[in-house]
Amino acid sequence: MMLRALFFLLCLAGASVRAADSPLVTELNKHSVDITARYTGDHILLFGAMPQGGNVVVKVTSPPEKISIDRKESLGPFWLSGHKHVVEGVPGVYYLLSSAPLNHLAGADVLARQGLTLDTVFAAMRASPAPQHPRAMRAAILRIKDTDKHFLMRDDAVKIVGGRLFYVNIPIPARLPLGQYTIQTLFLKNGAVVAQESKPLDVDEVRLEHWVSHVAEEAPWAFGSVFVALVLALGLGLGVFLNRSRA
Amino acid sequence: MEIFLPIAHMDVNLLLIVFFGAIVGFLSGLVGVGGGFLITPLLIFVGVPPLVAVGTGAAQIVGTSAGGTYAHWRLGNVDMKMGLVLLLGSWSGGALGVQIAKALEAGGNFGNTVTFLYVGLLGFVGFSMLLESINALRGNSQAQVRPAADQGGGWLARLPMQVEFPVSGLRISLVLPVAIGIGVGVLTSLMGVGGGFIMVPVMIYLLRMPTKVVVGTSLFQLLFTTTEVAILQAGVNHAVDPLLAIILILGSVFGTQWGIRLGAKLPGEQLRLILALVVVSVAVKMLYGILVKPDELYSLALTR
Repeated sequence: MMLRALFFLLCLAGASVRAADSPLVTELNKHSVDITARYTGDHILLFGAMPQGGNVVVKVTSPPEKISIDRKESLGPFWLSGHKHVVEGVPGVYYLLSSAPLNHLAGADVLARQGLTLDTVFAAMRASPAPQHPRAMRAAILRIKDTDKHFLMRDDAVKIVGGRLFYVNIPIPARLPLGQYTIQTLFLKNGAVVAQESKPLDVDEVRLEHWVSHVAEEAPWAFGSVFVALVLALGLGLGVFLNRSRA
Repeated sequence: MEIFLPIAHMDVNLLLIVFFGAIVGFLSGLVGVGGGFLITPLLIFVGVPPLVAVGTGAAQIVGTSAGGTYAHWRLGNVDMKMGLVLLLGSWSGGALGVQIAKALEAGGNFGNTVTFLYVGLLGFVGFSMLLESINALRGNSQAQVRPAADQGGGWLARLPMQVEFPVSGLRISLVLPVAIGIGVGVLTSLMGVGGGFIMVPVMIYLLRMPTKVVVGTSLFQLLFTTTEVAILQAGVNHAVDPLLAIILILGSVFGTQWGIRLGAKLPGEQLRLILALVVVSVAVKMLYGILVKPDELYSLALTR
């Protein structure tokens, strides 16, 4: 991975001189993450060139998702699922990867305006029915997203080489929401955002897995009937075959 | 080796799922129970959402019972008329159960319901088997339950819609088998079980069907009940994971063969004791899961 990063950086070193009019240039080593049955996590390498002296923040977000959150409550001796709330408006994935601690790079107002704080992540959150303890619910979402590696904050993840080039290795976890992710790179200098660039990243199931989950979602009755008929035939075939081989 | 399940939307260890299928198939080959009641709790233990565990469990039973049903049908061990009457009930019960499951899931209570049903059912079945096999090992096998020859016949004979069942040599009311069918159908939808463990004793002790046709007719009934329920679970609740179902079926079909071979060599009482201990420990583990305060009170899930 390191060697590959250096190779890209060397290529960029040439390109960045020519792209002097655009202060920030970025590229990804791939533009999609293919989820197959054997997918168990991935890494995306983002690399680029920037003007001398400054810092880089990379924000990765997936589309807002619809989740249900459930709190276990004690009922007599039992701990049971209590009320279920449907939560919308929170991105499935939210990474902030930077070359220095964010509060050193800009003031709170700039960070908030650029969506670089957790408050902005939860700004559009809607829960129905409205929770009794919204703060506890928000803390729980944060905790679980953190455990699942869906929310990630690293202030040493972006490496700057020679003051002009940078790269960051973005970890993509094994279990993750699907959809078109946005990878936004911001160049900050003297407390202000000087330049920014966005790149899309497609995270989706491919081939048979895509087809199966697509059909099961779009045509559940046809999928159910055909699949159960298939299973019936499989069971019958195996049963007859194994009985014959045993006899 | 981790694989990604397209409907459950999670990673599982392929070998673990094959092992689950094999263990359940092995037990069913060894002692002749269906084993659907073990698949659902095992899947829930590894983190499969309860509704997907139940829906996929039903699909798995379709695959594992098809071969046996065919074999019994070829031997003439299926009372087709009784089977169809039972199906009339269990198809209605299955359709009702899938709607109940949908409503419970929407309110966030499906997981609780499944846990309580399983703790109750596995606890009851497990402890009865444990007592019975301990008795048998002690040698007082003559103390077994005997079908009560004279009691209970009165009210059954007074029920309306008495019908002849020539294959079983019975004349009974349609009300009883249809009602039992409804109950079993609801259980198939809510628990992902075939219900053979209820149907077989009911056929022997309550309907008084000849032993020869009991297993075949029960298999016939549960094959087509799980077929209906699996289709409905896919259609209504999007709860059948095809990859998971196929891995379980392959594991269990081969596990069954292995169980049949080993079962022929081992003494029956000890086998039943092993099964009883397995069933009781699954029930205890499920109970423990709801008695202990979880580390994380909240849980997240994607919704449609």
